Amino acid sequence: MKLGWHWILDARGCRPERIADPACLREVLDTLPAHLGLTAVAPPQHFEHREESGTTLAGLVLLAESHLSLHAHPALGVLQVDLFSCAHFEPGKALAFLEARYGFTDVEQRLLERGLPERRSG
Amino acid sequence: MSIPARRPAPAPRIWDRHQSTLRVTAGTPEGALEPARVCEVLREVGHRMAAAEGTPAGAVQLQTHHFQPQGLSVVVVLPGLRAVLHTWPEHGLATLDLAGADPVGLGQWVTELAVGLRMEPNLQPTG
Repeated sequence: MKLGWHWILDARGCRPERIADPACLREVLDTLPAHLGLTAVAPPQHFEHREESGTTLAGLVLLAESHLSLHAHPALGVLQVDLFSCAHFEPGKALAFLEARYGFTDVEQRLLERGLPERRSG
Repeated sequence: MSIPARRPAPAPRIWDRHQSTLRVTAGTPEGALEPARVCEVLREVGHRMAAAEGTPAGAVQLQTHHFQPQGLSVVVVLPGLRAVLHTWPEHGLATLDLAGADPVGLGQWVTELAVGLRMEPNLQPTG
């Protein structure tokens, strides 16, 4: 039983002024789902967490198709994204959307199929 | 569906994520995927994650969305932590995604909290 696809992005070399900007993160949560043809079903949640090593920004929005989450680490210039959807979407389109806003220089991506194999009867 | 092959480069390992899919097993107590039970499980996940990070328990707030005719999404987002659970009762399945800085603890919590469910071996630790 396949439930959907889970796209995981780890990006580094993000533009310092964007990776540290909570408004940028909120804008992504507000607009990326619709850009990909997905539907938000609740207002996004977002947090700023301050610690000795720096501030971390995090946000998540529930989708009719599952969820989108972002974690930004300004001190490291790193952005981490998870997009899980039971509906088809274009990871390349999501990548371009994020790159236009964060201007990262290196990315690592994975695409997981979520779900379980069918059970054999008997 | 595929991803574009572009500039693969290892990113610093900051977070560990665990994605798992849970299947209701034979003999599972009825209502294993009932919304109240699902919320209870995720609230406990949130409390344990918060305790491990020194976050006040009061910060643990659930956000839920009920689908029609069935199905539920529940999320806990804390500073530096995330837990999301989606259920597909019509298939007897649920997915649980955890992200945090303690991959060993996360995996143990999943196992402990999945009482009544059998966790298939598809944990995906990624950082």
